[in-house]
Amino acid sequence: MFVVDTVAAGYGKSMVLQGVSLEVKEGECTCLIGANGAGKSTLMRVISGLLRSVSGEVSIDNIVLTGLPPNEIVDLGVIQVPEGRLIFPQMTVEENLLLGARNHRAKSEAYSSFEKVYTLFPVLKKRKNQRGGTLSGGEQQMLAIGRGLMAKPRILLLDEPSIGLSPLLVAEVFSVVQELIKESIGVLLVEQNVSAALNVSSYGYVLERGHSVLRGSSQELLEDESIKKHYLGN
Amino acid sequence: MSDTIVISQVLLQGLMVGAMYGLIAFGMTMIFSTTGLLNFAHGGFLAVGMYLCVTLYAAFRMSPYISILITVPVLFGMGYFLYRYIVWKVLKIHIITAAQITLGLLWIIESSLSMIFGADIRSVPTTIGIQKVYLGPLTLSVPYIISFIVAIIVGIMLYWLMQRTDFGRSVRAVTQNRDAAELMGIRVVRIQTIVFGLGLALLGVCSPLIIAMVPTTPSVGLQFTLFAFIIMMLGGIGNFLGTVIAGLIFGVVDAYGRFFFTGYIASVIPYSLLVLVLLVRPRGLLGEK
Repeated sequence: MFVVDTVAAGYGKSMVLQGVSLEVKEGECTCLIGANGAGKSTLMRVISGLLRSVSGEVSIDNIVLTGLPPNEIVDLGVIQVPEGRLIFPQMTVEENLLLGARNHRAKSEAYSSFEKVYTLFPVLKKRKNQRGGTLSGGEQQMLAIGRGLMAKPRILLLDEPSIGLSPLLVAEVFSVVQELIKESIGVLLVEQNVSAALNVSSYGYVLERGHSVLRGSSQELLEDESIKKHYLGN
Repeated sequence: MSDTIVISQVLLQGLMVGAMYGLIAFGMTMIFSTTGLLNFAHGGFLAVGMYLCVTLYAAFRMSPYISILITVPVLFGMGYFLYRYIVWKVLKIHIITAAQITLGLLWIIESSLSMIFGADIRSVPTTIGIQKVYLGPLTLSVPYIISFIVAIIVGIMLYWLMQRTDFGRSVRAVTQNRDAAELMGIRVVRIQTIVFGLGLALLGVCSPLIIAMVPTTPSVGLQFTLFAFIIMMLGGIGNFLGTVIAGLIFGVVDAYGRFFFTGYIASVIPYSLLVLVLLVRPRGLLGEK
């Protein structure tokens, strides 16, 4: 169980997150929705150790991650696929994937991880000697997710994977999420594409101006009046 | 006829010095692209290496080709500890402050060397220094050939290190996207620290070799910081292959400049080359994006 417990964080004096809590179970997809500027990406930075929280705690199976450097958080199996993909543009697809498997748990199993990623995304195998920067947007997103999987995640944080993708590709990326759940990976899906996110997840949280304002099963949230009004546009 | 011989002679000599320039600038490029910091003290550390050779010769009559076994680890250590305990901490506060520190360091090095060794030109005689090799009509002095061979070997080792090892992949990852590298579990500061050490270790390789080509005075520091900077820009910032090629071109142009012109005009030539290249290719010879 991955737990974020009343985390507060920000930049300088402006507190972006003011007590955010959520839980992600392994083998389940939990989504975090909220408008631009609600603090979703800040939360991602805190979880991965790129930004220190002011208070609160992040833990996986009761092991506290707060205050650990990013590499130790990766070693514990909490892996982020960042917003905007952030692939390494001048390295080949294969090298990008290899860099995903840098942590202690993943390194020795890199070979079988390659097989898995190439089965999940055949297009990456076709392009394995091509530079990351030459891939299309959709392929880059697959590469970013593939690179995350190479790290043998227990919890995978997907930050805005649908951004800039056509509806067809969004569906493809989200269908991969279903595959990951089957392998008992816990997925935290951070999305602005609310209806798609709620449809693929089983539980959801709504973040507004740094507070978690609403939580519930995705089914409940889909039927919630305020969500319909503010996020689904009907 | 004899003109062509002289011209080729200068070309060859320029290429050989240029290989040294390439390695020196390679260190600066490596440091810049992994840390974002322009190391103004770069040439200063070359001077430190050269004077280390002078001292080792004065104390033990040690040949520069043996001193290399000492200059390389010493400069690596200097770079490692300098980054780990000073530069990195300042870099967290502001990059300009860190750049200012390296600039200050350049003057500290130059003044210290002047105080200890005086401003006169020092040289380290080598037994092979006067030996020549005849290549058809061309004459080459042995120290130039040795340094060229060493540069090629080190160049191949660097290529292997950067392209084929986990460490090299991590370095490239850090240069291409520091946040993403961090998210892969790469210990970015550790990589930066080692790279800073390696960049200076390359100066440890070059200093004993270049002593036969360049007069050893305390002011070589500033001169080589500027040279390395020009070569880095010329090759395309952050482009490792571009830096090596630019080093060779710089060596040749500089050699011709000194051959055809004298004094101030000759020293302006390398800078004019930079301006010309940047006019045509603003991102350098192999620069991208």
